[in-house]
Amino acid sequence: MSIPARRPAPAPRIWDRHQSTLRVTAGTPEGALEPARVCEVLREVGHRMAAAEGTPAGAVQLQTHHFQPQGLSVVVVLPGLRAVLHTWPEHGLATLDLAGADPVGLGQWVTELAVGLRMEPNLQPTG
Amino acid sequence: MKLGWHWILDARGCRPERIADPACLREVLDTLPAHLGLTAVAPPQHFEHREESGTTLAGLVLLAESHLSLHAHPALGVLQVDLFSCAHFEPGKALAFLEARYGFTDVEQRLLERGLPERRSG
Repeated sequence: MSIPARRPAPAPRIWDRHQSTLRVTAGTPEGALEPARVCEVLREVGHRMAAAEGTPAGAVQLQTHHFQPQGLSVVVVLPGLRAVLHTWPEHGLATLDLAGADPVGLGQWVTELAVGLRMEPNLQPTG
Repeated sequence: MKLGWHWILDARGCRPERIADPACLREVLDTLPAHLGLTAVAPPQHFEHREESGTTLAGLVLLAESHLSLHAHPALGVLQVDLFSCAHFEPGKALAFLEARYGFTDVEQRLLERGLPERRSG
């Protein structure tokens, strides 16, 4: 798959995005990718992002979709912020995409919240 | 293990009346996935955020293949798009779809392969 080469031009840097893929490591507590735990992690991400932006915590609402036989997508969209987590339990993997105005904080939160998971070094900061 | 592709678009020079139009953003969220052969699995979410520097529009729709998100910055004429899909899609088709609606003049694109390398045994 490729993208068409067209009028490349630097856009103003408004947002920073972090795309990361997480892998369950040996010794990870069982259920690291269980839906309840995944939702808990993403809700915490949403609360921290909202707090950093001065958004009321009550605005943090999760939208989830459960796949059959397994797998989960969870999203938090706030004014000026976004977090999306997809899981592939059959592969022991999850992806986490964050967008906001604080790239340093976002990266730290990913590391903190990925307890029980080992984050592979593929963060992709883009603005 | 490859999980899919993540297409990132940053566009500027968008038509002022379109980049500021929430209906335009909603229409993209409603129709672009199917245009690309992808499947929405939940109603799109969208927000308007007003601050001193201007209003920002944001929206996201979950797909069976992952997700599509848009962020529009009318004061700057900038549109930012993320499309992550575990199924093949045509970025050029998505670009043409968006350009027809927003009429941007400059774009910067990236296509990331999402996933992790296989672990070696032993």
